[in-house]
Amino acid sequence: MRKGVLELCVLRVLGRGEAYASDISEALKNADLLVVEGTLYPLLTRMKNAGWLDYRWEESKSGPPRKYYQLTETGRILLEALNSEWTSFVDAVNSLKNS
Amino acid sequence: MKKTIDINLGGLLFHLDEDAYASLSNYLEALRRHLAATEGREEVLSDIEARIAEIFTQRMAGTRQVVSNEDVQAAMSTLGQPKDFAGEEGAYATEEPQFSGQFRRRLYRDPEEQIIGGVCSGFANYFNVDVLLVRVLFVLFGLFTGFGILLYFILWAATPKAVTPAERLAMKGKPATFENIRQTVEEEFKNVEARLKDKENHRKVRRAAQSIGDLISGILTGFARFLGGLFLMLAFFVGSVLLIAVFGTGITIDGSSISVTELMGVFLPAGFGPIYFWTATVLVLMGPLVALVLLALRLLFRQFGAVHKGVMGVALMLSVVGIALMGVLGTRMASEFREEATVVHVETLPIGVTEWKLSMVSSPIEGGAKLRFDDEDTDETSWILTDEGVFFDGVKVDVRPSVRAQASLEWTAEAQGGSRRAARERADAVRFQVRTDSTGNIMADDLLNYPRSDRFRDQNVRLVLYLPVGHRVYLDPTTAPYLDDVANTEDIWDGDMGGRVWLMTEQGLAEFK
Repeated sequence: MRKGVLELCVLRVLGRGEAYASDISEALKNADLLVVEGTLYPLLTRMKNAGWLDYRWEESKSGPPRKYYQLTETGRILLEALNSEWTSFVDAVNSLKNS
Repeated sequence: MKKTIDINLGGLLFHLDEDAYASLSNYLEALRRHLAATEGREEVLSDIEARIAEIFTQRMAGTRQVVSNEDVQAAMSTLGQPKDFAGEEGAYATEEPQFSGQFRRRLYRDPEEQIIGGVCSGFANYFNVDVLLVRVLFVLFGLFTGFGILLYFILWAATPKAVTPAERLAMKGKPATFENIRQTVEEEFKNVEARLKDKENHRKVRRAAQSIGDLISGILTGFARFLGGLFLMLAFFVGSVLLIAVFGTGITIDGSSISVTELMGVFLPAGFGPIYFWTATVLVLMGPLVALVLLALRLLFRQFGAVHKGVMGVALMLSVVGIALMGVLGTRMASEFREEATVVHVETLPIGVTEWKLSMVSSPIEGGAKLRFDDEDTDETSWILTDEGVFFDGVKVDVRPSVRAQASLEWTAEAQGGSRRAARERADAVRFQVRTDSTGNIMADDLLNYPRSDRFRDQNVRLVLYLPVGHRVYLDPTTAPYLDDVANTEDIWDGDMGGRVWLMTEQGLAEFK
């Protein structure tokens, strides 16, 4: 379950604007959603290959050039779809808890 | 002082401590294995490498030059262990049980388990067997042949000691089993495939094609290496066992045997004992033997490097020394055959007898070591070495015409030496028995005898019976092997002259019927 959620989280982080891997992992760590950073790299590559993400290179003063990821049009549509699915999913689960 | 290793990570150059390098390459290798079934593995790995480079750069902060193991550990804990990735990405290749064993295994000597040089413990590590087993095998081989000891010292010199952490890892690293080799090969294929497919890497296609070529030739050479190494090791073992069989235990013919060492004692010049001979022989063999072992090590265990050049150089020098020693021995040996001397002994024969019977008598020799050679002239030549000296069947028998009225019998002892005097003394020392009786029986010993200290210096005896015209001689069949070029009117071969009666005529010996 977490795997699917993690994808949504990445989409949401990137929905706020472009970011590079460490930014994304930082955001996820702050939200207690990610334990180690390494997990993110296979995920990002897969999402990029699926056509949800795109990236551009940017020079860095503190190391090698960084990959800055952003949402593609497909990614944006997917984020919308997943967002609404997530809301109804959470509502459904919560409704069970309250009753 | 610590050794550092330069690496290129994400396009940046880093100096790593050796232990840092060991853990980092371990980590990356584990990741690579872990992500085997993941799409875009190469890209993920280069992203991760770039991130590690970034972490290093930040931690160094321009104040330090060398990446330490702590830096690597920090990067690893940020990124997480490969097994932590598993929860997120489903289809991973099965993980190797031991994480520390990702290096390709190499043969090293193990200084922490050593008794003499750590050779056995190194082999035990390599083959993953109990060190006791290896030691027992070595001791058995060493005891039985002596070449095991030599082999041990060659291996000691040729195998590097595992000192640094990286070497210790490699020593206990991933075993070179068939399964592992297959895995590596498969991974390589996947890599090549991935590179071919990847549009970003189109320009690398040529490189990839090269890699396929490299891979195929790699597999072939790997196989050839393995077979070649096995063959060389086999050659060493068979060769040394054969050498031992021939030189150590001896030559066995006709149920009796003589050791080469004993033979050397009565063959080599004074002052050049068997020890000299064996030392020179082993030294001469050092070059080829060491070359054999080094080549086998190189093929089987991918051992190489400056150590081997040094060892080979020393071995070649020893070989040269051995050849020089052999040269000295050979020269000295040849000089002992420079001069020749003869001593003539005249035997008394009964007067008035005109019919003779010549026979050879075998006197049994108790004990002693026997040595026989097949010889075209005398059927066989044999030496018997006893405490009383050397007995040798180098006796030749001849019958010649005499101008005198009486028959006469004489035997000539011949020997060689470094000087005329030495040769003469040896010829003097030759003992030979001939018995005669009043009826004309002449019985000659079939062996001559001389002291062991005189050594083999071509000592031989020629027995000649001089017959006046009209005298007859019956050559007993026992003389046949000893008759040598006896002139006769019938043109009969020496070997066929035995068992017949011969008459001395004006023209020479003729068969008497």
